[in-house]
This record gives sequence, C-alpha cells and structure tokens, in this order.
Amino acid sequence: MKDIVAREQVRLSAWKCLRLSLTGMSFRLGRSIITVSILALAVAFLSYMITYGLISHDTRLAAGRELEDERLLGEFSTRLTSPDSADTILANLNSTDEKAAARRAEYERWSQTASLEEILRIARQLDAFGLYIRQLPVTKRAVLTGDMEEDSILALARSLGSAARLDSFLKHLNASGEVPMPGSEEEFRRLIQSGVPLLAGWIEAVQKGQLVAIARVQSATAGQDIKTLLAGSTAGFTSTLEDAGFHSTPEMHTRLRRLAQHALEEEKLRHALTQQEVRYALARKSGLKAPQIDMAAVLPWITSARRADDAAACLSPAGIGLSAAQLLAMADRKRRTDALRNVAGASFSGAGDRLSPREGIFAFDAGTRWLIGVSFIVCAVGVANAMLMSVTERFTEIATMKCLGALNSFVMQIFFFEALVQGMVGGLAGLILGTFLAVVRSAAEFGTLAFHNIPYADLFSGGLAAWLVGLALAAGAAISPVWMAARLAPMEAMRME
Amino acid sequence: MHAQSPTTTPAAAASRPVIVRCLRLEKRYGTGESATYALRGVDSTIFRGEFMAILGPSGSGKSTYFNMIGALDSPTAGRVLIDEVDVAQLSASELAFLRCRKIGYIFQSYNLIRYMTALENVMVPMTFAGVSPETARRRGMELLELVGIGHRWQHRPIEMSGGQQQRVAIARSLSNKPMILLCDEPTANLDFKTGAEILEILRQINRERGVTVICATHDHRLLDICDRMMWVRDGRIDRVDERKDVKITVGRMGGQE
Repeated sequence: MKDIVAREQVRLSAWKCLRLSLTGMSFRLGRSIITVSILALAVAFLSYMITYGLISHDTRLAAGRELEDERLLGEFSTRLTSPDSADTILANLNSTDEKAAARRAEYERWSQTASLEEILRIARQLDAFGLYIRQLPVTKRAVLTGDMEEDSILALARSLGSAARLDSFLKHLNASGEVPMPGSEEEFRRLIQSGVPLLAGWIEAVQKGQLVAIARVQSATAGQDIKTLLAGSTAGFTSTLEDAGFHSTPEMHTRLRRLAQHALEEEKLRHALTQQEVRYALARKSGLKAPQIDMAAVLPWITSARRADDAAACLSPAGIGLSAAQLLAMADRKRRTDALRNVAGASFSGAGDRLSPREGIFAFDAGTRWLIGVSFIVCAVGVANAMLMSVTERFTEIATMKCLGALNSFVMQIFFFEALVQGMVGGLAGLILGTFLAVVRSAAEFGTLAFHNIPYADLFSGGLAAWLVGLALAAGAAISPVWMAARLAPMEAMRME
Repeated sequence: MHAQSPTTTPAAAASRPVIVRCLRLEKRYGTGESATYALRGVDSTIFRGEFMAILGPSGSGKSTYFNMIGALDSPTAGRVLIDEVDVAQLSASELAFLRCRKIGYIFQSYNLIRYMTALENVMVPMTFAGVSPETARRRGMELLELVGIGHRWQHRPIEMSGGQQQRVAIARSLSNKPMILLCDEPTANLDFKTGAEILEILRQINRERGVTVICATHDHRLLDICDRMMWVRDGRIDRVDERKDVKITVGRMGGQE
C-alpha cells in the first residue's frame, strides 16, 4: 500500500499571485512606503537632472540665438563698409549654416565665376588639412608652421608655394608619422600647387567685387549714415543693396529696420544724457547721483509708466523727441537683453562654451551627461539597496511559503509583482517631484525665458525614460535576491536571515 | 526488507508499515578544515501512524535531522525515503507537491504569514493545492473550529497570543489532510498550560486521524503522549525507546515538574 505518490504541483494563475502580493503590500504599507520613497527619490533625482538639463539647454540655446540676432545690424554695417577677410570667406565656404549659404551666393556674384563647385572642393580639402594640422601635438605643429600664424590655414598653405618649402614641410610631416594626413601626398601637392593659388585668386576676386559693391552703395546713398537709411522705410535703399549684389530678404529688412530704429533711439538718448540740464533733472527725479547718469543707469530705473513719464519730462529740454512709451520700451528691451546675456552665459557644466542644438534627448554636453550618469548610478544603488532590504527581511516568509507547497515560480511572481507596483508608484511620484523641482529651478534661474522654450516632446521621452529606469531597477534589484532565496531548500532560506 | 535500524526490534519492524526511513544520513556544514558535522550517519525508521518524539540537547543535530525527514533541507550524504520514495529523486515541483499535501509543518515560532488573517493562513496550502476558494474557506473554518479558535478567524497573527497562533499553525498544517505532521519544538515559546493544550491537540490528531506525528522537543510532557522516543546525541541516534519501557522514568520526571 502506498499513500504518498509524488506528482507535479499545481501552478497558480498570475492573477492569484498579483492578488496575494497586493494583500501583502497593503498590510506592509509602512514598510512599502519607505521602499517606495527611496525609489521615488532616486527617480526624482534622475528626472530632475534630465528635465533641468533639457530646459536649461534649450533656453540657453534660444537666448544665444536671440542675442546673435541682435548683432545682425552690426554685421550688416560692417559688410557695407569693408570687404570680408580671406579667412572669413574660407570659413563661409566650409560652413553649413544658413547665413554662410547666403554669403556664398553673394561671393558667387562678386567673383563673376559661373560655378562654385571647384572652389568649394578645394576649400573642403584645405579645411580637412587644417583640422589635421590643428590636432597635431603643439611641438610638432611649431616645427611645421615655423613662425607662421597657425590659425590661418590659408596663409600656411600659401606660404608653401615654393617647391623647396613644400618638400621640407612634407619631410617634417612624414617624420612625425603619428597620424596619416587626409588623402595622399600626391593629392596634397596638387592642392598646394594648383588648388590653393586658384582659391586665393578667387578670394581676391570676391574681395574686389565686394569693394566695388560697397562703392556703389556709398555713391548711391551719398554718404548718408547706414543706420538712418536702414531705419527709414525706403524701398530705394533696398533695391540699391540688391543691385550691388548684397543678399537680403524682406524679413531681414524688417528686422534690420527695427534694429536700426532701436540703435537710433539709443543714440538720441545717449546724446541727450550728455547735457547738464537733463542730467540734473534726471538725478533729482531718480535719486541717482548726477555723475552716475548714463544709459546703463537710467534705463534700469525706468520700470513703470510713471517713471517713463518723468524721464520723458526730464529729457524734453534736449529736444530729442523720445516719448514715454519709447523710453519704457527701450528699458524693457535692455532688461530682456541683460536677461538673455545672463542665461546664455550661464552654462550647466560651468564652462561658457557655445551650445550646439541637441540631437535626441540624451545628446547633452559632456558636463550634463556626466551629471545624469552619476544620478543614474545613485538611482541604481538606492533602488537596489531598498529592494534588497525589503526582500532579505522576508526570507522567512519565502521559506514558510515553500514549506506550504509554493513553487519557486510563484515566489518569484509575487515578489516581482510587488517590485513592479512599487516601481510604478515610486517612479511616478519621483517623476512628478523631479519635474516640479526642475521647473522651479529653471524658473528661478532663467525667469520667464524658461517657459518660452520648453521642449515638451523631449521632456515626455526623458520622463518616460526616468520612470522606466526606476521600474526596471526595482524589478531587477528585487529579482536577484528572491531568485537566490527561492532556489534554496526552505531551511537554507531560513538560515540566510 | 530494508536495512534495519539497530535499535528497532525486528518484530515491530516487520509488523508495521514504514513511513519515513533514513539511510546513513549525513549533514555537514562548511567544507575542509572548518567543516562541522550535524549528522554523522543516521539510520532510522518511523512507522505509519505513530507519535514519535525526537529528543536531545541543543546542538545535538536534532533540528537538522528533523529538517531532513521533512524534506526541508538536503543531506550531504545518505538518503531520506518518505513512503519508500527517495526525496533526492524528486523534482522541485514534486517536492512542492509533497510539502503541500503530504506533510504538515509546525514551527517553534509559528511562521504564520503576517499579512494574512487566521483563515487566510489556513487557506494558503489549499490555494497552492488548487482547491477552490469556497471549499478552502469551508474546510479552513472547520479546522479553526477543530483547534478551538473558530471565533478568531479574521484576526491577524499580530492580534493573537502565541497559543492561538500555534493553533492556527496546526489548522494550517492539517488543511490538505497530510500523512505526516512534523512539529519543531511546538511548545517551546508557550507557557505551561497553553503548551499542554497544544500537545493535547496533537495527540488527538494522531489518535483520531491516524496522522503520523513527528515532534522534535525539549518538553518532557511529550513523553507521556508519544509512542516512541528517539534520543539524538552528537549527530547520532543514541537510542530509541518504546514508551511502555520508560513509563517509570517518565513518571519520575513528571513528579519533578
């Protein structure tokens, strides 16, 4: 007679496991809250870093762009008074941005050549060679370039014009032998001997063409101030520019006119502020000392319509015709420019380097990437520790369940579900907390500028990533100790405690 | 038949079916120089339906032996046969099946699941066995009534005394009608009176349901109840006594208490 026949144990449905783990969790709410809080903090840290990184990057980028826009007038005036330097022309040939493309169109007109293609090819080759020279060790570079100014690759290339000089340069270059130069030596010889002279000739042609264009504009405008011309809505001036070959668009003219008007207003104000009468009147009104009165002091003082009225009254003896509304607008513009400067200058990583647009959510600069990496590690360690603690203190429970006939898969499932639920709740709480803190910090640091450039889609992906990281870490960190405990014989699991 | 334990009389072995048999059972903790032996080659036989007390001082290997015959721990060497089935040959799933339906466990520290009520605790092994919730609930209530705490079915372990928790544990161990009830120091954490009540319940289960009860204990009152007693010392079985042979000794011990 045999009473005990060993058979396969019944498998429980996932639903039953989920219900059992929920029962357990609701009972151990206090304990769970600690684990969930640690999870939430870890995810909050990570999502804070990502969100703040995204907002600050895009805000600073936008501020930089806006500031660059402010410089448009200066750039344009320069181009109307003197031709571009050879290095500027070369840089514009190799640059991919929109402005450089417009410049190239102008050069094409001025140089009177049919096609830019050959010139662009030479410029690209020369640029690649310049990059190669720049990455060589300093001492090697010094030997190669001698007392040449090494910033200008064009100057260097032109100095190699004589065959003897080129031979000795190549000899030194090959002796370094560290990194092979782009292209073959043959190609390089061809570049220096025929390409560079061609390019140099072309550049001279461009410069001459530009000089002619400048002369045409100047004769047409009869020596009038460029700013005044731009500020007026003269269609004649626009066509004069176009006839001379300067590239322009209607939007650019609108912008230039606005900028020119602002510049003229500032000039008027600056002029008015040199008059004693005005200075004393303003000093009495504003409480500033008379010697301190200048644009930088007066404009920040104009913070309300009332003060603008006062300032306009004080300025009236100078007869510059600036209204209170214009003064207030000037003050507001100055405040905005100052804010933009602050934002564009403050870099997340501490270095005031120029930002390039992000490509994807995690393509930050090195400093931000490092911070996010560290916060990820903090997150991982925190979560792993919390889960490990919450599992190890329950080894007895695991052992008991196994004594009562629980399969390993069942034990795994209930702990996995629990970790998943904790990960979801903690991750969500952390996400909200982290995003909130990041928005608060951005608002404190960038003011209202922060809210003009919120990359919603990227913030969503970043938040989702942080949440999923929390979830995956919670599940992963819980699974390994449970697997360890579930595999053991019940008594071995009990002894682990 | 199989090899006989030296302390078992041939007549008894022949007449009664064996439910747990150990063959040269060894358990070693650690390896090499630092290895310590908890069991040094134990041969033993436990018969169907008997009440076996396992006695011995702490560190004698009593608990280790207990865990081995309950398939709760794996031996370093030797074999455990439960109803002639070698435990080592069973898969994890078959082991779970065995622990779920054929063996009931009672621990010194009750080991109830803290977040479940008394009834839910009793229902756990039935849930694992795939019993329907309605049946499990009905049988669970019956068992709680049997151990005398039917009125506290919805209390959690933390709200119950040690004795009450141990009663729940007994009800839980009986939920799938096991063949064997393994008790590890069931009365050690209880006061004198409660301990006596728990022992009485165990005796009742053994007599009325024919469940084999194996009980590791320090409690000498158990000697009055059990059929046989196994003395474990230094990882070996010192001797096995029939209760009728040691009646006078027990009487004297009882008198001392």
